[in-house]
Amino acid sequence: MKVSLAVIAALFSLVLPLSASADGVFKLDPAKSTLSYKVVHKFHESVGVNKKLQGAAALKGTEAQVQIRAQVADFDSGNANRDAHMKETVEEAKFPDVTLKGVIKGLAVPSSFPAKVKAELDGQLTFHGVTNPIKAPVTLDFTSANAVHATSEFDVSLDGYKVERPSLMFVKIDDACHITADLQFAK
Amino acid sequence: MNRLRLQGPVALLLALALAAPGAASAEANPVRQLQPDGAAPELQVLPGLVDAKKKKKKKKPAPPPDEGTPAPDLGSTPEAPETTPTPAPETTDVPPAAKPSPASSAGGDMNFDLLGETKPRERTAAELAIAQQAEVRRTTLTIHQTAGLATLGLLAATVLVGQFNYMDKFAGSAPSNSGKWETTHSVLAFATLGGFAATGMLGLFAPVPYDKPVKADTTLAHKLCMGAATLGMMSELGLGVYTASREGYGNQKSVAQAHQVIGFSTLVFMSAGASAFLF
Repeated sequence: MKVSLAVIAALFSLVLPLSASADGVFKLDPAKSTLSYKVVHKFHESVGVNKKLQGAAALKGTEAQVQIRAQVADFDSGNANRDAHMKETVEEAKFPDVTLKGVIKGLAVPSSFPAKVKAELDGQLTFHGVTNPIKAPVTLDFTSANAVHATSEFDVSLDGYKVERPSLMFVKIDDACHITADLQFAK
Repeated sequence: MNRLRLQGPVALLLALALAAPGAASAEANPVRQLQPDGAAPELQVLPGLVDAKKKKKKKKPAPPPDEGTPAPDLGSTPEAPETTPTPAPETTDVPPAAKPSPASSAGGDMNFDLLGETKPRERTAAELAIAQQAEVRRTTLTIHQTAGLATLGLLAATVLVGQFNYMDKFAGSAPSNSGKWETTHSVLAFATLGGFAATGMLGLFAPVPYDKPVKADTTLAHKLCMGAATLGMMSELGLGVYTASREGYGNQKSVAQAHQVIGFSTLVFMSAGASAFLF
């Protein structure tokens, strides 16, 4: 009988991983992930990219929790002066982190892979010492049960985060700061 | 045999829980993910068994923490995650760096932390100094920008009036040589020089709280153009005074022409430097 139980257990152990769900905690792969901002001035646009992100996502059933953290100092616009100015503007010494936390509810987790799922992230963004709620559309590309590629774009108000908008030629940059997230998660 | 039948389902569940981590609960999965690379996966233990182990452990006196004896692994990771500066608690069912909150399932609660504790910490003196310098720099460069644009306007006016002055003195076969633009040109020129010097000082001596590596960017273009404009300004000061001193001499026109050309060149360099940031 003991032998029979061991055989059954062994068979189940072989079968179950094949039908494993995507549930679990996914860690962000910083080498394949970017978070960027775009600010617009009447005369030109500026894009800063951060490639040194930290993040994780916990998936359980139809709900996912996501948390991303970026250092303000790690955003690179390709212009050292502009980056320094950005740090001054958002008071990087006082508020070095940008943190995004969110929950995706009613997530239709695919049973076969690859599969693409659209969802909405309901969360909060902490930036410049201010935490505001955000809602962002998210596209989740499940390449397997163990890997998800998430993309999202949304705008945040700089005034809403009490950022004194920089000006050039007496013209301030637009209030809307466009955020683009391109994130690769893996178990 | 009956005894075996009664224990069979329990044993099977136990065996499945041990053998199939993919079927483990979401609370248990984070533990598996945080194993060090290449390490053998820890056994996932059912919550009931964890409790039973804890109860058993309570019977024995716990070793003092300073002995360095590792806590029994109950499914937690031995190492704190990379992002967590604080050491992991001795015994936890899940590591502190990965705590999906069950409360979030109920109402979108953000009371979870997947990255480890982010305790607000006191700013160091160096960070506070940087913050203060950044404020000073921002104010300084705002004034620098305003003063620079004003100086550019003054320079344009100086060049324009200088052109009128040149035409009054030297244009045509019978110039009027009334001298009506001379005073205006001189006043504007010295105002421009003063504004340029003050603006340059503000830019040069503004504190630099953040490193700015030299790159081929708009800032470098601004600095190069303003460097050329500075040379032009210094030349103009000398040439302007010298031109005025050559009144009645035969070479005054040629000196004035050089003064004129350098004046326009300086205006071009300064305009380019100011507009460099637009790109």
